[in-house]
Amino acid sequence: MFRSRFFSTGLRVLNQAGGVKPVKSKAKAKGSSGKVLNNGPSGSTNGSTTGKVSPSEYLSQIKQQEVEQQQFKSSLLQGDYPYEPKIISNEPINVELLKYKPIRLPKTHGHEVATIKFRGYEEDDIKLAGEFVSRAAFFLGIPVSSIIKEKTEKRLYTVIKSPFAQAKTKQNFHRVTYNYKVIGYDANAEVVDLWMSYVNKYAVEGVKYSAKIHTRESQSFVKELDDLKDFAVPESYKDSNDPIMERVEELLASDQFKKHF
Amino acid sequence: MPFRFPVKFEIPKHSYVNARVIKDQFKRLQYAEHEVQRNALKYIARNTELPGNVRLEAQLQLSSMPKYTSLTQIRDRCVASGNGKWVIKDFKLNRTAFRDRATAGIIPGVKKASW
Repeated sequence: MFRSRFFSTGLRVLNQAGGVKPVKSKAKAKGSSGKVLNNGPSGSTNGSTTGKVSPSEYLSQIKQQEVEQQQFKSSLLQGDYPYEPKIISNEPINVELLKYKPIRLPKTHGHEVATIKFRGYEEDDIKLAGEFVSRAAFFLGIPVSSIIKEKTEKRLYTVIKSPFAQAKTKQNFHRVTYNYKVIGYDANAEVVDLWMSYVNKYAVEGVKYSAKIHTRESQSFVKELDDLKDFAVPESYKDSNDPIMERVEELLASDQFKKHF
Repeated sequence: MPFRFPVKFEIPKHSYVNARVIKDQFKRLQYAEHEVQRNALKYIARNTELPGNVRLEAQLQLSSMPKYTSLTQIRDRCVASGNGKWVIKDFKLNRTAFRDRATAGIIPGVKKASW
């Protein structure tokens, strides 16, 4: 009884030390009880290699750990650690920042103003484009989301391998299209316009950009629409400049059709 | 040898050219030219608010138009080889032309798939 209990404590110490894989020793212990007793001494000898501890020593170890934990917690409340950057370059700060992930401003309200979507075959190009967009947003003062990955499309093309006959042997090709997006928050329409035009000016080749821009109306928008007097829904095709409808009117007015009316 | 087509038109510059490609090009140009007329006649023929005779007249005019003005006569052809069969629409290429280019890695985004 004593032996088996001692063995179990020994196991616990081993697990905490991380010297021996705990899973293996557990698997050993899972066997029949006789086996455990047989393996008992060998397990304890393994424990001695990492440091066999008596119950009183074990208790003192735990106390020591608690004291260390307390010291660590109190040190966290002291304030910031002294910051000493390892790389100091002479570059301007905006150039230096290119080496790091784009900085993002915190949202003030969380109102979505624009969603820019990126689409392309090269994932690196899209990530470059996404980072450019979020950096531009940072310098314009627009809070943005991280570069969010959307569903990747894979289009499969299976063709006959041979140029002639032997149609049983096929070859597979696929075109992978990656999709990413960046969401902009809490910005005026003018700033969003500026952002879009800047992004458009320096667009990355091989990436398709598309943007969804939200606008907000006043609460009385519906009432204002009702009050509009000049507003009229166009009457069917007549007001539109549809060439087909112009031709229809032309045809119906022609001699060939007139005689049937 | 008499000129084969009822009107003169430009030979396509963007693709491989053979007799069948030229024939198809002619149909495409003719369809584009008569698109408004055909759709107007179709509109009249299918408008149930118009008198029956008017609709019949429109249908007769529509069916008396030459076949080469119809959209159904146009067939996709390979830009690289002029072949009309097995054309992959995404690339406008025939299967062999597509396979050559895909294995060479010329088509953006297309790779050999294996799973």
